[in-house]
Amino acid sequence: MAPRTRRLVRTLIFFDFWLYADSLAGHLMVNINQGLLHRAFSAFIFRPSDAKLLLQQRASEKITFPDMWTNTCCSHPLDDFPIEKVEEEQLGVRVAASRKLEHELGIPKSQTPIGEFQYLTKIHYLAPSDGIWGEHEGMLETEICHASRSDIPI
Amino acid sequence: MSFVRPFLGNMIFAVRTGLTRLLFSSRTTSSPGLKPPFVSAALYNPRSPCSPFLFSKPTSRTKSDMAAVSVAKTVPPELATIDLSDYDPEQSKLMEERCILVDAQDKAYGAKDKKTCAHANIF
Repeated sequence: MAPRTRRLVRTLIFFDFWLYADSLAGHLMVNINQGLLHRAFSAFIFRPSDAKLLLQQRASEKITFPDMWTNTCCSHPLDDFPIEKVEEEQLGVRVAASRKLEHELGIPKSQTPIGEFQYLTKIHYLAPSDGIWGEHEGMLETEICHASRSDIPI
Repeated sequence: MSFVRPFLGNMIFAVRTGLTRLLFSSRTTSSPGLKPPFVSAALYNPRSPCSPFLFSKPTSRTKSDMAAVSVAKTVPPELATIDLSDYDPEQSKLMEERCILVDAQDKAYGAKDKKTCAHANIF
């Protein structure tokens, strides 16, 4: 192939890929805009004595992201509980975090009082899981950190 | 200026690719949700250099665009057809919990079961 032709072919492939990628991104945004964005939280527990972060490995039975290592606890405040819908001071998210820390990790709610959670920020989260499942639709995740002076006995 | 020439040539070719697609594509007015991935997204984006809407007013939004905007606030139907019987019963039960649907500013406007929320319905 002549250099000029080669350059044109290369450009065509690149440009076609660029359009394809742009189109895929458009698909993603359309589906997010169709209303599947939902509220979530991500909680971090550090041990004050040595500043280590508590990690968890997700169960093999999990439908989304099975067996994966992750931060202390991620879940969703639920519409099923009126208090978890309260937006002021991230109250709903704090209550949900306390509930899930007991459910997933067996840490009693009494050891994670909602006042001890420190709000960090909000992030817009997107990630594919496996097959038809994933968090492709997007979550608006409230990041909270458990800030306690004493270690939680685990 | 010899180093500019190849780049310039590439630029012109890129624009022509877009125009060729514009001339031969019959789907330029279809809904954004229905377009196949191989159709140029640049044609749908009003700010794209290949877009026929590049020099028109912002009000030239098509009706299908407006429909997509109004869909954003409506709640999608339940995905009751997805069978979870092969999964762990406890995890399947948790998928019935109802998440809080929010807009990009984290304002709540509805609720939907986790199964619907976690379903990756991109394509």
